[in-house]
Amino acid sequence: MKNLKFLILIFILTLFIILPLYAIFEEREVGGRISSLCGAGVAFTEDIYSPYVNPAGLIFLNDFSGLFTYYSLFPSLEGMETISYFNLTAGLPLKNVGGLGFGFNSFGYDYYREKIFLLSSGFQLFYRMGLGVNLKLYNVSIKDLGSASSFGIDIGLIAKIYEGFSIGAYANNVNSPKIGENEDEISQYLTLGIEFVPPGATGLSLIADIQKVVDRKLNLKVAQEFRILKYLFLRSGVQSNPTKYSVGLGINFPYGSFDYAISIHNTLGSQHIITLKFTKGIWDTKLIYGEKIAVKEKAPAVKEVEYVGPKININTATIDELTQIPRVGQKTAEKIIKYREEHGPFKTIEDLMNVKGIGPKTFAKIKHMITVGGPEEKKEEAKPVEIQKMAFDLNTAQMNDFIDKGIPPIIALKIIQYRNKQGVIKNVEELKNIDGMTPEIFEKIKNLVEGK
Amino acid sequence: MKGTPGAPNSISLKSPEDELYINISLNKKVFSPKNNESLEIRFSLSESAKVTIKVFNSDGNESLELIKHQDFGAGENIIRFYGKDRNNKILPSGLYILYFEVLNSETGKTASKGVSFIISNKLE
Repeated sequence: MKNLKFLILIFILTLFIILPLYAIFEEREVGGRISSLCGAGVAFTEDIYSPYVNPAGLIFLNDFSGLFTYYSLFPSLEGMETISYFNLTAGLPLKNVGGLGFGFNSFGYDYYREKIFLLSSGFQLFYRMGLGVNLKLYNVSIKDLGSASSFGIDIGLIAKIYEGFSIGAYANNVNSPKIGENEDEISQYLTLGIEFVPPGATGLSLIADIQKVVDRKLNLKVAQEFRILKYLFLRSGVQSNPTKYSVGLGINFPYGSFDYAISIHNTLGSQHIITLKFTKGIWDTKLIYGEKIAVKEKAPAVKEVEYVGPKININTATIDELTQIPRVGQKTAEKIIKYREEHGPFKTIEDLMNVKGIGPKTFAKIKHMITVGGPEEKKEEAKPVEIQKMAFDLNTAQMNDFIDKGIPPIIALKIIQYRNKQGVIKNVEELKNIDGMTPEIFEKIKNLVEGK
Repeated sequence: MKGTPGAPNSISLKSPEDELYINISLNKKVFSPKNNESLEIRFSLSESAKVTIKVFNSDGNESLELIKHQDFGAGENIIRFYGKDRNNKILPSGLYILYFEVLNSETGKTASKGVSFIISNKLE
């Protein structure tokens, strides 16, 4: 299986390398995170930037996410008109299949405009290995010359070899699209890269990409991303051709982040790239500096583990507590809480199967570690409505109270045990089932309770 | 270092005459080398200087060096660009940046400036 993975990888890479490559629709600064790494990130997992660096990365997308990026072309160069770029992007995870992305990019000014409509998809091939495909509709319009469209296909491949080491490959426009009456070729390039977390340096990612655009020298990109705080990423990168340096930061906040990059060109000056990102998941799952590697994996098969800890009360548990249950992720936890709010507390643990996302198989694996709450929790709710009015209060009577009324000690003891177990005796009729109870003794107790 | 041609400089005490500056104008923004069109580049210098002109694509890749450290006199100069690289191959269609760097080697004054142009052929 492992050998097969590598064979497929090598085959596709070879295919990429022998493809002819050429240029229009140049590579753009696609967003604050990627641009602060000089565009490196073909091996990135778990990010909505995937449609632009490697669509295969979509298989690791955790939550519904969105992106908005803006920059203006070399604004510090005197004489330059304002030529701006923006993109709007959305990503959607598909459970056990991969992920989907949609994007719209626009670049240009009065005289020239490039637009790209993008449909991006990632499919899981094997565990932690995926294939991605981008379908792109290109449109270019030039003042006084009209407009033309074309269609491009990108292919990407990604594999997380182990936690902290991923490799990726991305070939842009493999179908050699041409545009306009003169059939101008649209730029094609191939990128290979890795992302690596050095042992003992959690929170630090080292990223290296090699990019080949035909008719140009190889472009080597080396970058680092350092998550020093839960809220803060520091990033920097350098690339060889054209020579560029970049630094940037990412500020995370609940449900999103702000990514900023300054990209510095030797001759043409700097560009400032800003990105606003939002995600349905509250926090980025990347490790923070000093954090231990104990990452929850989306394994296709969950090993059954004997659970010995306290049971999780599905009527009172928070999202964090619920996600400790195997196979229950953030989304399912949210659904459980929503169900609870809409339908009231779960009466039995089986009711959990009414929640979308929890089928009989999952339930069978988790039923031993969940509860709907013990009698303690129920007592307070049940008491005011359901408890029988008792002249002789079965719920407060002590051993000697029973004996004083002529109840045999052994029965009195059983009643008290029953009461402790149930939390409350709602009705005297419940005592009929007590071990050793005779109709005569029951009649006696019933009369006491009813005040006869 | 950068001059502000035509506009009074409110920050510097120097008059514009003291600054080395360059003014660029193109006869068109869009031209098609395949149809034998060329770009007429007019640039005027405040004083004689060594001029370097480079063409970059919109990704910042240098496509060619049109002129390297050539002496030009003060006043208006005209050069013509046929949209071809060093190997006489027509550049791919797209947005480009024409980049000027001027240097007065006697005074050491420099200035740089860029302007965009588009190489294209009929689209439809």
